Amino acid sequence: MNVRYLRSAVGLALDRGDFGVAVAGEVLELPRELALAAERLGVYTPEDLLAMIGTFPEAIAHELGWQPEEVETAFSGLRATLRGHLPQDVLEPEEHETPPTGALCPWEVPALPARR
Amino acid sequence: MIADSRRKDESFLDQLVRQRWLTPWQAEVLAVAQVDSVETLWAVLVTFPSLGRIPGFDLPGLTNRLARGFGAEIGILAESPGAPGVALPAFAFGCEYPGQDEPAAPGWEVPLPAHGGLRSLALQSTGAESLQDAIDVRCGPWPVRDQGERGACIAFATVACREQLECRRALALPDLSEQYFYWALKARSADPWPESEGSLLRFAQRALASEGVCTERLWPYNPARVPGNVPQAGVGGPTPAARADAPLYAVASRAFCGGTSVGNATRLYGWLKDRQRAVAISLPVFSNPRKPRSNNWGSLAGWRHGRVLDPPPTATSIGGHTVCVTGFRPDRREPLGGYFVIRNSWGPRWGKRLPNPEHAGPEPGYGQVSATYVERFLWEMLQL
Repeated sequence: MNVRYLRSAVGLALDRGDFGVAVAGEVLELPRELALAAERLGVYTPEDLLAMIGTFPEAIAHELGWQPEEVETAFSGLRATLRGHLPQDVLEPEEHETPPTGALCPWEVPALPARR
Repeated sequence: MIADSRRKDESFLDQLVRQRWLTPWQAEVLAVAQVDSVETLWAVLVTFPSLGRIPGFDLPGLTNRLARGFGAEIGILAESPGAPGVALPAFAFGCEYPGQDEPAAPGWEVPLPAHGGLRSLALQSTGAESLQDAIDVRCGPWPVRDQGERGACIAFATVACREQLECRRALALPDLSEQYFYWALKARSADPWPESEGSLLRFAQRALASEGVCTERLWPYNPARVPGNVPQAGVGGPTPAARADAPLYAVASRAFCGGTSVGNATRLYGWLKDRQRAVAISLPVFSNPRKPRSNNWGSLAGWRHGRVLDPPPTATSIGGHTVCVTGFRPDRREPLGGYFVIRNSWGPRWGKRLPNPEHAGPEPGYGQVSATYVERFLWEMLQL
């Protein structure tokens, strides 16, 4: 059964380099500090939490007052905890090249007429 | 250039404080780091993303402002042609409502709330509590397309809006040519960068009104770049038949707006709900300076569920992307009330696990961006 939800749980504790999470059915239970950090970062599902940590580990370090290396260690532990509860391609995602974008900054255009 | 807008004996940082880009306290921190120019400021911000850990130091907001104000000068937009450096913008960037009697929105500045201040931002945002209803302006199933190698996202978003409008009017979903419209935008509009990828919705608005867009079969999209020929003139078109067909789909926009101080999310929500028409929006893309290949649009969450991550305090703006907004999904957990449903142009491999109960987005290739993201960082939006 895949974990689908995040929940703050009493009795769980963070330790530097260890998120201290637990799986309970469809719920990934988090220590309160990590749950609050996830909420502040706009993350509400286990997959989005993995995405945020994988893309912006410094943000998690910022929130928890850790070093980025400690986040990397804890991230490995989190993925180990979730093995069997999430698809392998979520735990070990393939690298994607981001396609081109193309929106330019409106404020770059020197010739735009002034409007007030 | 920056020096032109400085007062006598005023330092670079003092200028930014005077023009409210920085607080005096932030300027003191940056002065310690010997910041004295746009280049050194940008270098410090991207080299030390841990600055975002300082309460009140809003790295995404600050770098987004720099990208807007000095993008050409510091070269962070890779596709920028290197237009002359622009001093601190002196013009407002309000809304246009052709033929409408709606007031222009005040100013162009986007608020920079301290980290953790999103709830107060919600309170500032007029009518934020009204983002309550689910909206879907699609006519029905509508598979996404793929812009391939080209920076043509604006063409895809604008053409999607035109198709949705036609579907509302004629109850049939046409297949219009992004190839033609990107050519018209780059080669026939006021776009000042015809030889560079990317553009502004402001110019797309004008191109659609003056040039229109033909049907896809008359000039199918080529996803590959043609070196030295961004508009791809002569690459299979435009044929006389395409030129004759395009004016049939020309249309003046109903509304255009640049990002403003407050109210971006509620304005976008209101346009969707009241008019039941899709909206093209441009937003910044944020990256982790320590992992420059990654960004908040191309994370695991994006590729699986089309989830655009909100930029954390340590993220920096690296460019922009345009998508078509087709709806809204309320979510009480989100500080401003929910997520806008976006139709991306990266093919169905992005957001490939949609639909999914935990995420907005009706089909693969769609996705969602939070109302908070739109509120804080919107660049432009256009509705036909």
